[in-house]
Amino acid sequence: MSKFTGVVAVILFFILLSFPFIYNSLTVGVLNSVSATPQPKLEKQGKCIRDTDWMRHNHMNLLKHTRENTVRNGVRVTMDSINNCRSCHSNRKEFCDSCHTYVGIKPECWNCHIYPLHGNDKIKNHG
Amino acid sequence: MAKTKYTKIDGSSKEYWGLFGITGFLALLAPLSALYIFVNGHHVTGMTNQVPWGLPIVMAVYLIGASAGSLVLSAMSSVFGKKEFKPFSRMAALLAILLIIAALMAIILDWGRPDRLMLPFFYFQPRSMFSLNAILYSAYVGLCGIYLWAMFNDKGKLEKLLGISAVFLAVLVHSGTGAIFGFVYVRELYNSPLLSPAFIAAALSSGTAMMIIMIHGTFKLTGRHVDAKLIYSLAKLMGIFIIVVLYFIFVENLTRAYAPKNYEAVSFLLFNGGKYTNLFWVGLLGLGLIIPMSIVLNPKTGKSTLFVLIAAWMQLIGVVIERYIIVIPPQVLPLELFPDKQITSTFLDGQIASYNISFVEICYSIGLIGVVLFGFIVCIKLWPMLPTEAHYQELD
Amino acid sequence: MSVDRRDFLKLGITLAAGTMVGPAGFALSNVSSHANKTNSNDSLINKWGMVIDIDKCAPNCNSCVDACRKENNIPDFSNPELDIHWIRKVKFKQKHVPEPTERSLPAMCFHCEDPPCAHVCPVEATFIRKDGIVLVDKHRCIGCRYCMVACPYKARSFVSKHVNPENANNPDVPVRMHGVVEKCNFCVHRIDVGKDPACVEACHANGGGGMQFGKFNQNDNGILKVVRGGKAQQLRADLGTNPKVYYVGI
Ligand code: SF4
Repeated sequence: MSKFTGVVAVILFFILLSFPFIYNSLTVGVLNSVSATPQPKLEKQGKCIRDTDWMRHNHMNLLKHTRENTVRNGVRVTMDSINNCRSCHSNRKEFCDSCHTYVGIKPECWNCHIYPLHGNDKIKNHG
Repeated sequence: MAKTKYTKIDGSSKEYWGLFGITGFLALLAPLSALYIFVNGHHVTGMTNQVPWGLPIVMAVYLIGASAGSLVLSAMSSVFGKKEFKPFSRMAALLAILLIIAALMAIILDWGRPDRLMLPFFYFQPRSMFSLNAILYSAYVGLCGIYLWAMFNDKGKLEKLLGISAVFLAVLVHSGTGAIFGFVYVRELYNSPLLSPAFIAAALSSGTAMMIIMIHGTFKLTGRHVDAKLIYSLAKLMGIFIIVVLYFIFVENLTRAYAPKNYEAVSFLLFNGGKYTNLFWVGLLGLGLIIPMSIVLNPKTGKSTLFVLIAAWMQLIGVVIERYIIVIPPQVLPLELFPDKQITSTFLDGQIASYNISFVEICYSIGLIGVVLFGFIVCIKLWPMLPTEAHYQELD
Repeated sequence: MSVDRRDFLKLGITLAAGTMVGPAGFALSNVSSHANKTNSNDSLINKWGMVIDIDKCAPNCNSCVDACRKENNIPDFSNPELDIHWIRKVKFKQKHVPEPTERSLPAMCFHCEDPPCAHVCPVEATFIRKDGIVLVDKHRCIGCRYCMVACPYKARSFVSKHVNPENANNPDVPVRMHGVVEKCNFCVHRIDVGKDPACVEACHANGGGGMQFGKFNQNDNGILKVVRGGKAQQLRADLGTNPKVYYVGI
């Protein structure tokens, strides 16, 4: 009896432990996209505000740093603003989301910041 | 003096598992309704931009109060020398922990973003009562736990020391809770230095009432013997605490009513506030305080278990009403942008706001109580919390 | 065991003392630093502020409110109890006199110098920027709504429904997620690039032009001059919050 409970407990523990993985593979579809390496598409060619390779690894830190500086310290650098990303990477679905889906993360940025999925004429006119 | 023996409960009967299931289900209600609110947004609750704090905060304050009250009772024997309450000190300390956990749940799950749970610990804001309370509450949970541990291991002196500091912290925690409201200087009905001591008095009376009910219930259900005299002396204690509560309510409202600038607010609460006035006079003063007080202090009815239990229930609900009256009406009353002018706007300025408790909030509140009960019946099975029997010992 | 116990007790007592003395010390230092601040009479220098001449403010004019809603993507929940207001027109009448005339003024967050909202925020999500603007950091707000209870001017609103960024009107201003508190920020994104807040711009374009925005600068003859004249007044100045929005002609 006690041995049995122990085994069940261990199994339950591992299920709980791997819950994030299970959850992601069910919701984000990590398993489906693992085979295809992401191919972020970019319409406008040119130079990014930082080195491309650096950006690939550190864009989230840059954004967070910029956010802290803009909101709390009032240092607004238009160049580094998330709104400025839109001017080249206008298609969120094919650029940002292609990798994010692949690694199974869902950044909260776009719950509020306006970055339409497929580019947006309104925004282009505005900027 | 015979030493009190504590045992676990057997917990294999049908009734136990029945209770286990019911309270477990109730306990699940709290996180589920919180999830419902989080997913849909707060518009499903009765809380609005006019009344930002609703029933969840009322419950949180109430539970913190009951927790502080039962901790003081738990320490009665070791700190205040009331040896006759010794048998209950373990279960009272356990209840104190469970209640404060439920209270913390009430506060945190009511946030707009409960997923940002850890932020108050990262950013400390010494002027915010919430920030101070975050530290106080966590310290309180920890200290209660250590105190309980000391009681289990019969630590004598240490137990007493821990008891004293736990009582001290309980008072501090509850003053802090009162200060959340008392420090809000822009609302006439909140701002009062008396709010903190009044909170503590109500905490003690509701804590005692809850202990009477819990002791009677658990001893009866587990077939253990409890001396009725113990219940009666607890009831008397409750009566005395109720007098203190009444005194605070009296002084507070009288002081307020004296200043002409408060005429509107006070007359709203006491005379023409519709349901709030009814709640105040009938719910709080009549059913919640004066009747239970007369029951327990009357030598005849104070010596009848049935009457004492009725009084305890009335008082328990009376304190929920008291917290409701403290939290809600000050928000319902409009803010005075210009004290000498009458104002209107699209944002409902200058109008009495309405707060209607929604179904989710009721589920949420019931769930919180379920959490406490569920925790209690699980813990008394796991650890020896209950004394085998409780006799009334004459003090020598 | 006994050594353990003693150490443990010491630790407990130090901790307990720390939790009590620390906050008390902080609170005291707050008060004393404030005492110094109020003694100097230039605490407003270089802070943004506003002066509103309400004689120029017609009761039926709503330009500032409309402009704000558009500029800041304020959602419409179509429910007066839940709707979000950064700026609103308040109509007022004198009490205690027969047949008073009704007048109106725009009310928003007054960017108090001693903002109760920021004082009660447990995570410092509401804070004062160096130029005096009181901001809510919505990345940090936990939605406890203490600030809404504490603000004397009802300047704050809670976002109680989901807002879809795709439907937003102005792409440069993010919408706010359900569960945070928001309020007027003097259009901080505009003044940082040298423009006036949307309401002020609209007031001059379509309204009576009673709103004046600027810094309380000594060498400026803008709002400081008006405030110096002594005719401008704050709302509920008795509370000591020292709002940075002044009204002329109440
Ligand atoms: S008006 Fe209200 S929201 Fe604005 S700074 Fe003052 S207290 Fe805060």
